[in-house]
Amino acid sequence: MIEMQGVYKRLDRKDVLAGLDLEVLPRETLVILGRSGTGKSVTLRHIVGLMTADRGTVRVFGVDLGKASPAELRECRRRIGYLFQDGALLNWITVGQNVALPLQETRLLPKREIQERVAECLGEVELLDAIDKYPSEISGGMRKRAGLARALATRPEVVLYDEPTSGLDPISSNIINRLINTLKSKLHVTQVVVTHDMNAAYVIGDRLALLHEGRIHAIGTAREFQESDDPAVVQFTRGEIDGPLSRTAAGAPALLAPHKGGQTTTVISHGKESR
Amino acid sequence: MPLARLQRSVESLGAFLVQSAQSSGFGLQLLASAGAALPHAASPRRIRDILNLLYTYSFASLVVVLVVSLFTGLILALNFLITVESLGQEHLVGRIVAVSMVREMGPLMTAVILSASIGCSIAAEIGTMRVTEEIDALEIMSISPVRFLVLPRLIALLVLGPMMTVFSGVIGILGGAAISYFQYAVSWESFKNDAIELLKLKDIFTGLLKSVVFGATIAIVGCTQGLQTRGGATGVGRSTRRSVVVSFLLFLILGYYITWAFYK
Ligand SMILES: Nc1ncnc2c1ncn2[C@@H]1O[C@H](COP(=O)(O)OP(=O)(O)OP(=O)(O)O)[C@@H](O)[C@H]1O
Ligand SMILES: [Mg+2]
Repeated sequence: MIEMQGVYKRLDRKDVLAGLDLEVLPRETLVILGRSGTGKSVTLRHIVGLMTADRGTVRVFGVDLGKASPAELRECRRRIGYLFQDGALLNWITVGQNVALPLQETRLLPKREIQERVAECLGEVELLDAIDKYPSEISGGMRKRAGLARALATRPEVVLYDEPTSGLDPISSNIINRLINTLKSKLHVTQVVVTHDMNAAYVIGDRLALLHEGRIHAIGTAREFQESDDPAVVQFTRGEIDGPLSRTAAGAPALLAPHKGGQTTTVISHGKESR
Repeated sequence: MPLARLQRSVESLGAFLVQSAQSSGFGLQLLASAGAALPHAASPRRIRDILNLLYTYSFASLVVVLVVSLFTGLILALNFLITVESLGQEHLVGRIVAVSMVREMGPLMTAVILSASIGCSIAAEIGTMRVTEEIDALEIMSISPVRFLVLPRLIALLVLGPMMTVFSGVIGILGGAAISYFQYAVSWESFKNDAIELLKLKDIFTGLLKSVVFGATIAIVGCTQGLQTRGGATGVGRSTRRSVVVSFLLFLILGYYITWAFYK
């Protein structure tokens, strides 16, 4: 479904992605974990072609995004939904119009079906009452849910989530987590979720991947993550302050023995086996 | 020490030049792709967007254009009258006010106002959309930001520029006529005759051409700065400021060349 091979990306004189290999299998929900600034959002942006790899390949639905024509890229994007960190709604139109936007502008649905679809999607995120409100009139959490409704409006085969539950109250978070699980079990949508919420990661993730130093440091099921004795995984899942993922302010390795950054990908297990 | 400082200022000058070159390239490209997208402006949704923008922009600028144009006309007339009072050439005030308003001051003043009120709000609006990932969201939904954002703004300003410039010219000339009549007893009749006698079609055409070029400049510079915004709220502030400064420079340079092309 989604394959990233040896992806390098340099931003601001820093190798944000340094030979990232990642495969997302059809119908799975993959959770990407990692500390702030490790390039989780950058990884998602590569998958939709908002950024292109300096080196390496990104394939989505079998299309190499680095070589795709504009039409091919459009076709790929049509099949992908993307939830941005803050919803990214247009503020001069209502929530309902925002959700209708991708359908209207690309003429995916006949006019009379659009309203139905909008109501359906807003219902899914329990936001039907806000359909006629403007984004500035609703809370941040509601905007995020509205953004999710918009991402789902085109009924995409792949949905990418950039921190879907950060900054949300526990109830809203659960609405979204439940929705992710429903999409997985009922509609068999392939999903990639970036999150900092470990509990949610265990609940929604078929597999978890830990991003560190521009690569996937470890990948495996929730169970394997919980039982892993890899120091970085242990540190991250327990939220310990000291460990291989910690860096001092200067960017030098922390006091504890530095983890070998180079050939890190400690594959706990391949998703195929664990499923 | 001074050497290091010199080096630093040379570096920052270099960075400035590179940045300007990049922005100009981006702006020209944007203009070209907006031109190529022109047929899409005929869709009902875009027409509605354009009308909405025109409505908002007109109200945002109307009063300021009125006041500024009135005083521009007053100042032009007054300066001329003070200068020629002793020579007894007051009857020539009509041509001076009319020609300067129509050919130079009307288009320039209008452009300055539109840039400061509308151009910078375009930069801020699109810049904010850039930093809040709304532009990225549009791209992912396969909605072209050029078609969706740049084109309506460009067309709105292509209409608004000439419209406001004509308005500004009329108000400025009326202002000039009023001060001539009330303070220097130049009759309406003689003011009008002198103005009409000297004002050529070419002047009007030059003025309108400038207003169209300036309108496009405002839209493209605003959109360019907005789309190139980087770095959160500070970045939006920077883009807004730059949009005004760059537009002003372009008005003067382009305005000079248009006048030169027609009168040299
Ligand atoms: N457009 C860009 N231009 C320059 N640098 C960028 C850009 N986007 C991201 N970066 C840099 O890339 C690094 C990774 O950013 P990214 O947004 O992917 O982090 P993240 O893992 O999503 O973090 P967070 O959890 O805080 O969202 C950061 O150091 C950031 O400064
Ligand atoms: Mg992020």
